[in-house]
Amino acid sequence: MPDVPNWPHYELPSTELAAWVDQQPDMWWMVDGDPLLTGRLSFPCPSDELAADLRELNRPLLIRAKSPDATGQPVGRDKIDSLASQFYENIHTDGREHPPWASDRLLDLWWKDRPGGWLLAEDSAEATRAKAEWAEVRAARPPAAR
Amino acid sequence: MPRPPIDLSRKIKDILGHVEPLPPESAVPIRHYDRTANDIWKSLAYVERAFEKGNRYPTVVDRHLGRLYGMALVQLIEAFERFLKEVAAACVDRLATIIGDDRFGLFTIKGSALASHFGAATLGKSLCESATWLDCEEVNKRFRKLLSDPFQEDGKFWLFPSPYKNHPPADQQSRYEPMGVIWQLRHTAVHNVGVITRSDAVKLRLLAREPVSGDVLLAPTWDDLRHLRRFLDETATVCNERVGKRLADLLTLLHDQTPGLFVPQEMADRLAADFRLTVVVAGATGVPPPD
Repeated sequence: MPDVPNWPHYELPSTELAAWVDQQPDMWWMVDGDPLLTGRLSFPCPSDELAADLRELNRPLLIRAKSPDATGQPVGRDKIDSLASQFYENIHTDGREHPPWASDRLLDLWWKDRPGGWLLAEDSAEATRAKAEWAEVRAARPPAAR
Repeated sequence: MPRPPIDLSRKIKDILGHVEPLPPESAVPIRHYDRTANDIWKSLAYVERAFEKGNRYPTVVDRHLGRLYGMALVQLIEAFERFLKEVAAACVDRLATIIGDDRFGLFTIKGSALASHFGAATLGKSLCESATWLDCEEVNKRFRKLLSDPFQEDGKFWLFPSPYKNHPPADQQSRYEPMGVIWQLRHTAVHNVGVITRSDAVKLRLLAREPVSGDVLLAPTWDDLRHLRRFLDETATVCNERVGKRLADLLTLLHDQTPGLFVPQEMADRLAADFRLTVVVAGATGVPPPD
């Protein structure tokens, strides 16, 4: 029997997380601490690849709740925004300006059938690089192919 | 205070005890590769962000990051080399007991090293782990022989098909030239600590077919690593699929010739698990087990 998180949590189907990821088609994503996803995808990865894999896996996740009363109640995609943290909540800059990625959101997650928690985080820096590379690719194409 | 007297010989041996268990993904070559490449990348991204956050001395940070990028470049390439070995080992393990030609003759183990191979987990690992897989021609030769039709002198399977020899399939020939450059970059980083010697420069110029300076220090950028990583990831995925399908075809041929050799469904299931692919062996479909 896998262990369970000692923090308050809701239960979230991975297909619902996929639907939430789909709502940000231009974002890229980073996973830290999950051997399942990091054995299947190359991170950072774009939204479409992550969403497709979460749908294929189709299994329940536990997501960290901000309310101490959460004890595994089911939630869906609409709840996820309110459960996300941001990096700047956890970094100290000695008064200097936060780096651009500090606004990236992250979710504390746990596969219900596997041990160990992990993080899913937006990677806005990689999304910006990919956007710039797409612009280069489009500019290099002949006009008829754009 | 003088340096304390420490038994350094003992301390060096102690390094061997500082280990971690292999992750479960190590049983499946493509999963093992993906996991390792992701781990390397996460470490690099973590350090880069930590440096960026406290960035008071940009020149110093750039120098340290440049060194780390060089290390990550080597690790990514070596993760790919290990993937090739593990894929080859999986092929050997599926074929070893059902085929009697000389295809395994190209793997040689010296008598002096034989004892250590008795500890290897499988015949495939024993034959494939000790050699280096750092050259397109050598890798091609091994997979071609390993996956050739029974009792054929030369196979027709080129893992890295050469555009100069017009090896099939044509749509994979574009990987040959960059793979050659990647192997040589690894050589430069590992054996000369990143110094592109004049002789390295000559080899790289021939491989890349464009001017390359010698007597300079390799200083890969973050974007260089991103592109290397993506190329290796995509190449690993393609290699895994091509080898898995070719092995399934070869096993089908062997079963057609001698139907009692193995049970097709069992073999298809094993292949599907080894390669995480849906494969067909002698009419039986193997589906990858859930992760």
